Amino acid sequence: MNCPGSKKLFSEYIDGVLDPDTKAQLEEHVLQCTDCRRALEDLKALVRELRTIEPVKAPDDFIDRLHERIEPRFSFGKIIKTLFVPIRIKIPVQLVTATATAVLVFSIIHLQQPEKQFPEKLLKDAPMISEKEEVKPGLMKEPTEQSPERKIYTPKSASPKTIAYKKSKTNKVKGIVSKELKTEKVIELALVLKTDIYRKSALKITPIKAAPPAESSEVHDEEEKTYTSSSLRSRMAGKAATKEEVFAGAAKQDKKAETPLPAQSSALKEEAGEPESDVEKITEKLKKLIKDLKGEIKSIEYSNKTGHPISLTAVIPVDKYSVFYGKLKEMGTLHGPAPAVKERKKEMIRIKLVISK
Amino acid sequence: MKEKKKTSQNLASKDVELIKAFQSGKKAAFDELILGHKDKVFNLCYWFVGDYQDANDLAQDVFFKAFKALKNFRFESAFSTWIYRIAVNTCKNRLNSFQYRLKKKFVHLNHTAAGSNPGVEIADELSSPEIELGKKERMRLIKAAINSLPSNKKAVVVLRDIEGLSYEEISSVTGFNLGTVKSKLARARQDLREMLKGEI
Repeated sequence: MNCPGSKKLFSEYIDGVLDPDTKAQLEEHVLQCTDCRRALEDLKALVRELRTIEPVKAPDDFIDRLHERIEPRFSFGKIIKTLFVPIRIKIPVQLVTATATAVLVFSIIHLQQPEKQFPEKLLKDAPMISEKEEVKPGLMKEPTEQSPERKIYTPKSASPKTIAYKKSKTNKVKGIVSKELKTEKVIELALVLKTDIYRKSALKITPIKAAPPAESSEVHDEEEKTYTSSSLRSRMAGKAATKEEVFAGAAKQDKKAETPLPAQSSALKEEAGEPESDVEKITEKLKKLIKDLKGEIKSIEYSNKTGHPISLTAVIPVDKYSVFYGKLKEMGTLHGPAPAVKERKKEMIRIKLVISK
Repeated sequence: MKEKKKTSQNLASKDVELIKAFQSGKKAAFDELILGHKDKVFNLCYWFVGDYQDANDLAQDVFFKAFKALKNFRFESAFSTWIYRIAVNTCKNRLNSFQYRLKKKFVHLNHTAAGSNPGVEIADELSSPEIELGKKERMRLIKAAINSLPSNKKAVVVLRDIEGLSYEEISSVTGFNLGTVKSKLARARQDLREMLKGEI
């Protein structure tokens, strides 16, 4: 028996599982070989050492811990843990994303809804007012897009101060007006003239919005100046101009920023031998009334065909509105609901009178 | 030797009774089964992983698995062999697990052998402190050497030299044939001798 072969059998020799012949051969070799004898002694010592190791005992609470694991005590937390941890239901990421997007879109739409639901009628009115806020200095006479038969005269010229004020407000006008119109009621009235002298006319009165008092006074002064100016009148006098020509002339005046006169048509008619109409008289009366009430006329709209005033836009103080209303009643019979305007001092209301025959 | 065999036979017959009782619905019979085997299983787990707390967790796992599987126990082997088989497989799985390997990488520096095995107390009232210290040092070296062995060699050497199982029992527990058990044990012992040369 050689050394490597004998070393392989040391383990079995120590355990006593070798057959007698192999055991005898191994013992004979070990007696002769010092290295193998030493190796066997070392291995015997190791095995002896391993077999004398004290066994490590389990802790005293081993069975208790095992019982807790096998039969867990009733507790709410354990039930929750059993039911939900780990989460059994898997929610697809796509579903979560779609739901989140839907919620986001819905909330955005919901937030924007009030603006969308803004009454169309009021929205139509709003640009009309802003258009007037952007009026150039001087009296203007320009046709509106509303009807080919109508032309609008804006009997005012704004002072530099007013222009500055208005320019600063220009960008805000629509929003401001929209807000105001959202909250205030629009009252419409129809007035049928009382006397036979005055032919029946329907006047629609629409309080639209408030305007700053300071601006009103300035505008009024300008208006007065322009109304009394005779530049256009003198130029137009002696000419048997047609109405179209008159308005064409007025349009040219607009370009030059000169002031067209609301009373020009009546003057022209007078000069042309045409009697002044009842509507014009009423208009003049209304102008005077508005002036007395510390109001102002913003614009007058004339008919292309007849040259008669068909609408008048003016601003009057809120507290004077009842007086104005009473005076209108004196002029004729009012139709429609009475205006329910709360009288608040230092506020102005804009009135548009639509005159139609 | 004969007495040892008789004792093991008595234990085996007692285990059979307890298992039958458990299978008939007596849950308390399992406690008695645990009492008879918990220390051996715990010791095996300890020498497998070399850490007292890990060994405790592993032994708990082993008996928990046994509790679940005992209803289907078919008496084809002894309960001790069966529970050892569960223990060896559980320990091997643990050693091969990613978590365990990660934990081993980040093991604390103060995680000494004495601190990690409070159960290992060599009770020898006559021994002097020097001898006690020498024994502890030897124990630490042996544990380190065994831990460095591959799991199959480790299983064989622990089952044979520490647990005292026979070659046949080891073969039954590990699933190796008898020749493989012998050769693996011889190589494992040789490796340990080489590692502990001059220390023991």
